[in-house]
Amino acid sequence: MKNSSIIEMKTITKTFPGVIALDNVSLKAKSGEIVGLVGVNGAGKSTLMNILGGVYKANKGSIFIDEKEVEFNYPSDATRSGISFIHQELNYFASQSVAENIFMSDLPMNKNISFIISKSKLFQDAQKILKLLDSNIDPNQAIEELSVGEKQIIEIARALSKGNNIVIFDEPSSSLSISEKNKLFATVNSLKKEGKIIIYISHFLNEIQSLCDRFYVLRNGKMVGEGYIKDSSKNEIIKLVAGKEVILKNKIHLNEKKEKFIEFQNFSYGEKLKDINFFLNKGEILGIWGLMGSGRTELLRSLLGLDKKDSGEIFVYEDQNSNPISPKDFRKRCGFVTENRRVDGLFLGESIIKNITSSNLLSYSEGKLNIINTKQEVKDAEFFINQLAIKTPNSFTRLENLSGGNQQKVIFGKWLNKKPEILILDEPTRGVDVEAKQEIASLVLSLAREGVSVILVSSELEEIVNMSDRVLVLRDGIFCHEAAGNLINEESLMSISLGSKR
Amino acid sequence: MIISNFKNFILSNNLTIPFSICIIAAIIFSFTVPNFSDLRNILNIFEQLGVLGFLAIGMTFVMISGGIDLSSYTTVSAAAVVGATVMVATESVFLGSSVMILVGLFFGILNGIAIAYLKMIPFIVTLSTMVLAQGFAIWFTKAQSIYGLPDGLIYFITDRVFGYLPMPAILISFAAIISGYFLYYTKKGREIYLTGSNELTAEISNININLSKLLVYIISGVMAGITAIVLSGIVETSTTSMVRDERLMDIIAATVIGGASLKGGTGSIIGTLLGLLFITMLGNVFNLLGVSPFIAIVIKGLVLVAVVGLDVFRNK
Repeated sequence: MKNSSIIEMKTITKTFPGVIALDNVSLKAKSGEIVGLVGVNGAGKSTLMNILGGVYKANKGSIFIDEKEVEFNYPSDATRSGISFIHQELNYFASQSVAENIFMSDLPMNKNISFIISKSKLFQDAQKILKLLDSNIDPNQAIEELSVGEKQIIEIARALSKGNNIVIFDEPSSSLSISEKNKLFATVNSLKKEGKIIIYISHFLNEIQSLCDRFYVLRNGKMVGEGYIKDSSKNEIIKLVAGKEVILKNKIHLNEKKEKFIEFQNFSYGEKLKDINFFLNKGEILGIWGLMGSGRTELLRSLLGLDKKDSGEIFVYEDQNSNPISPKDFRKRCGFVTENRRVDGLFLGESIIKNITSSNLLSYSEGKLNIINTKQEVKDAEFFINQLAIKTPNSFTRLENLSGGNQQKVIFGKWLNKKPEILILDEPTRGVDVEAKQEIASLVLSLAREGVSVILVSSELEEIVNMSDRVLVLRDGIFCHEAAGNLINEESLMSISLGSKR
Repeated sequence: MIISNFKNFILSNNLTIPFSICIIAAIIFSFTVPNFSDLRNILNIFEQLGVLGFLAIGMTFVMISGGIDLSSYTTVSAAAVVGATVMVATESVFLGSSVMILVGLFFGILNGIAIAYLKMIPFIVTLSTMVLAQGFAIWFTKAQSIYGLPDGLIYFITDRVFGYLPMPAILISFAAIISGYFLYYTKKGREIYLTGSNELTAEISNININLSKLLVYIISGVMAGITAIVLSGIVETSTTSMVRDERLMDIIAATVIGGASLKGGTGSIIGTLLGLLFITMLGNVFNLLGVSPFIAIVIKGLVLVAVVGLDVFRNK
């Protein structure tokens, strides 16, 4: 494996249908330095790294390693050029040992019988690499017994075993404990000393500051800033990340009434949720802002009774009384736009009609036999296709043939069709193009104006800031901050979630 | 208007493939295989279709919900021997038939509870009940066949309505119409499709997925009970192996040819019956041509592999 000393991405442009994901972006990293790449979700970090990893092909621009142009058509091309990724979500073979996981793609074979694995060499080699990483993990151990942080070390060991020289860390720390983080940073630093090229992606600014030598900031697909860490203050970087023009809130909707509607008490589940209490007003948009792994999705799912919980009660305020309500009954009054629509948001193989009516089948059922009124179904589906401007050939089109933004609109249609009192949105505009994003935002605002209470979870600060009446900041399973009205702004939320103040 | 509606129906329900396979096969067979197009042979095909049809309808429900039922064909034997014993003892066709359906219902509930509420894997659960039902039937009869079924049952099942139409074919038409109507037009039917299409989404959409799953295995079990009645009437005895093992393959093949996916969410009663018609014609042709039954099994096995390939291809 050649020891490359410099990698450069020049004027990379990448478009997806309807969006420019990257616009003329350049980035350079040298051996022996750690380069940080910062930006909010959707800024284009992953797209850029996917191009470097051979997953996507850029529309324009080129990649140079040691001043020689390289072309990556497949991920394997990038691996062969010495590029390794350490992902946030780890890939491993759960039932296999640590050593086998490290060398999975290149198991050492017995010298005499070429199809038999040499276990002794396997474990020796694994031990060697783990020692290099200053780790005392036993190579014989089953990988599922390791902690998340240790698994990450294994992932790094795997990269080293291939002799890869360019290591890219993609949000590696978001699911680690503090001591595990320190261990990870030590490892990254020792890689640096060995002369590796390291690109470290994170939205934790203090990590970037303590770890990196240089940084790049991506915003909306453009490289908006770069520099040396020692020359830049944290506030300068925050400004670059959030955008110079702090977006003034010109909210169409502002909830003034503050009539308490739902109260959640003592929601706890293991280490994920620690005694969470909050309430929701009528017609209010309550933003819950937190980074990945802060417990956002777990909180929503346990509120709705979809996941286990240790404790937690829900009360509804009706006619000046507060009544307890079971999660199941609560769910009946809610619409729930889930984080990952392909997993649990859609019926991909079914038509728009059947998706839209699925939340409310009872209202289409007639007579003792519960016969579905299909004419009414088509009529209602067409109503929502018009109202939400869903782009589709017709209402019979199956969901798998729609774009992400239009799929998301169908999900909104499905819940609007139920006329929910509470709408729970988990990353409602993830993977949606800019136009649809705005349409969804204004839809949510107008719903709130009509009296629907909204819980909005998002990792996009702009969305939270622009839409919420009140924001709760979730970190490590507890609410660590609350802001309302004009006190909600991107800079303060960002610094709270990054952990610099409480 | 009616023709264009029919055309839309065929296209929108993935019926194109089973429909064309049946027509092409029927044309080829009637020109190449002697006696194939005789009225008597055609009626014979429909009688056979009537027997396996109930099991195939049950399988369609189960596969739409995303599961599989390997046990229904041995449940037929268990139901048949218990019901026949009652029938012989009491001379009551009604009582005996009811017992057959109850035994089917019992195995359906057993599968349904294990799969829906205990979250066990359908393949393993129904594989176990398949062996269980078979073993039970053998133990119950000490491996003896039960003769002397009431004439009433035999006359009823082997009756040719208007002198031509085999009774099983008429019964299966009723079953098909009722179950098709249930699946396409009722709330519960829709929920079964949605459960199979995406269980997690269905749960979040407040659909009772456990009830949907329980229901499909109950339907499959009851269909096995009905099959026991029909088959006992046709063969005039009840045995411990009413339905041969390779018929399970025929049923699954028919269901998949008919548009059901092993992943759930798709399939239709009409499609399944067309698929079954094709499989039955194939078996009938082997019979007419005097192909060795063992070779026939090999060929049908190949058809099943091709059909599963079709399922993968369709899902691409």
